Amino acid sequence: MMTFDEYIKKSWNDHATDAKGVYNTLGLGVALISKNDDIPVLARLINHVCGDHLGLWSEGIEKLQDLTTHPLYVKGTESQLSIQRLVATLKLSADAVTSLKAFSLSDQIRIYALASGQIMERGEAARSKDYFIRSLELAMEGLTKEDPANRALAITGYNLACTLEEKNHRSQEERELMILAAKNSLKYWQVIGGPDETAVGEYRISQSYLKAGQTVEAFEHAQQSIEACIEYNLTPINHFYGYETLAMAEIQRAIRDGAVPAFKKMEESYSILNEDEKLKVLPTLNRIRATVVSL
Amino acid sequence: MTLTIDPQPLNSIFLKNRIIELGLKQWWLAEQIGVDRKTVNRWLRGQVKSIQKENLIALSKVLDCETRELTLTDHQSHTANSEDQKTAAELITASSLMEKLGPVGEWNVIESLLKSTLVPELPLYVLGELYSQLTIVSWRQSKIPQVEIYNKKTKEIASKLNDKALIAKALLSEANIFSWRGECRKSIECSKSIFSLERFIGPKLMGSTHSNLGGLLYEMGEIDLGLFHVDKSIFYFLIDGTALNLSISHCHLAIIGLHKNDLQMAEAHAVKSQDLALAIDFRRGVYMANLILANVQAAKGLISDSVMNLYKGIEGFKSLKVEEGLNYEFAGRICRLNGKLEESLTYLNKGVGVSNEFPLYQAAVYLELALTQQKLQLDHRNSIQQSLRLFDKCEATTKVDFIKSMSLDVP
Repeated sequence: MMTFDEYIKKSWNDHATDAKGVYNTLGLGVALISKNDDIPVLARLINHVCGDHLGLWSEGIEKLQDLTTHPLYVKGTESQLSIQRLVATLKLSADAVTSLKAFSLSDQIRIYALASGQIMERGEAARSKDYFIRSLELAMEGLTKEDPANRALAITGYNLACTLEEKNHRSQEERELMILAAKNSLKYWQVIGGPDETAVGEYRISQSYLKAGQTVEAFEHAQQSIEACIEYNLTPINHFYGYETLAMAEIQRAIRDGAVPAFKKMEESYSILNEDEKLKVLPTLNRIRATVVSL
Repeated sequence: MTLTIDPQPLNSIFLKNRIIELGLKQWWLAEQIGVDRKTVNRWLRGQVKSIQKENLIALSKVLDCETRELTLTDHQSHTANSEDQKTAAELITASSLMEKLGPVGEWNVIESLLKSTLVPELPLYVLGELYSQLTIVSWRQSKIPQVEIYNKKTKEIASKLNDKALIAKALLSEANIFSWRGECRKSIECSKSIFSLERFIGPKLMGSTHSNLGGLLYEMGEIDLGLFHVDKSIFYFLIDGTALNLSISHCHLAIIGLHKNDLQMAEAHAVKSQDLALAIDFRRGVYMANLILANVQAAKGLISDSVMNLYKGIEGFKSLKVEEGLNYEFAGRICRLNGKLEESLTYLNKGVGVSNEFPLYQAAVYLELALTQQKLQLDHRNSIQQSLRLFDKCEATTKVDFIKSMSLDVP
């Protein structure tokens, strides 16, 4: 018999490739709840699968509200708070909420940020931008370093930038949102994270600039990413990504003298990756090799 | 061939500008030159007065510039002379920063200014920064003559050092000075020059430039262009700005909402501006939002709410000892919309008096005055003439055309 923790682990592993399949097993998740603390954990999975992946707003709301009738549910704990927050997120994504004033500043930020990410996944760029900007503006009213809203902003910014980078065509407004999202991802990672997050955040900004066609800025942020890797002796995979984006920036700028050494550094980093990592990044390495050769 | 060791005086400002221009980072440059990254860092911070000749040559190759550009000439000597320091210290002492800036919460500015004067041999770039900050401090108190003095000093030092970030700061102040004098086109040109220096300045300065330019443009009647620039300012402030910056931008957007007769827009942005201002105790922002909300409520016919917000706004500004044409223009309009015409006249006459040195604001106050006088069936020809003359002087042609199209008895 599977435990609750095993169920959650498997669901998070599978959801990206089989969101509908995970959705169909949510009832099993409810059946496996063994304590009140499990409820917010399952609530987060329900919100993510129903909201970010499937856009099933009302079904998600129903499933979250059903959790409040579970015999192990305890009012006045994180279970209640997280369900309220996540129900509001799905309602906001469904465009069915006008005011979040009843929530704390931190919760308002988290709700706007989560909803922004969810609706961007559904292709609603304008409303997503509006919510993301609202979350950033609220954050400027003052957050402590420990506030979980910092993390929500860092992750949302990162995901928004990724989603927009993946689009084939971006409007000027989408390009600006992509840069804004990537820069704010780094800004909030730097509040809560360490050098790894700085390197990854700089990498994201560099990639966003590449997609925006701003190669000088892409080059600058690639260097910042590598700077963090060198300064803090980060893992080879961090170095690999840093040099990848540096090589891409140099390729886009048609600077062979820059692209070739950057690619060599990529190869050096690749050689000391573990087997799983090698498998994951090999297509990238080959793609850049082919481009560098053709320069 | 080995090079002789012959240290040269390093121009760290040129080095800083050049690497920004080329989009280079310290570690990369260090790798190319074959020195430690900390060495490059010290060069850039101005902690090293001279540089080995071989490094100088290597730098000139990597940075694609002449070695003479990387070295200091006599007139760029790095340390301010004692007379400069004395003047700076005297100006700071005379400006009663604590008293003037305390109520608006500029403690960090006060602190940095005071600390700057404590340095025994003040480097010239610090002195430049100091004057630049003094300029901003003086804006906040609407002390125009001081703004001009401090900004002139900032510009002199910035040009001497060719420090582009400092040049941009001086240009921003210059744009404000031109705008206050009603030389709007010159102000716009200054802002455009700052945009051309984007690579050397941070998002905050870009945001401030867009915000100020947007404000100027809508006051000139260029509402949509103003909106474009204020929107841009928010983009930059969300990357690197403060709640104060953002509060001011939303205040601009609320006023644009009023200009566009979009009360929903005006109210939404006034509320945002006020929330941000309250969060950081930026009282000026809180009271301005009160006036905008009072204006919205008056336009909706919500007289008692409007009177309450007007009272809060006016009393608030009084408590800060701030008297500006813009505030009285709002108070006059709110009273007119609420049917308190005599009260409106009182506010607007005060507004005309306090905005003597600011033609663009005075033009707007005269326009409001004309509207109130017309409602009271008083002779408003002089007010409308003054408004047209001043808007015309400020090259606000769109506004002039707009006034001529209004159902006012335009002479």
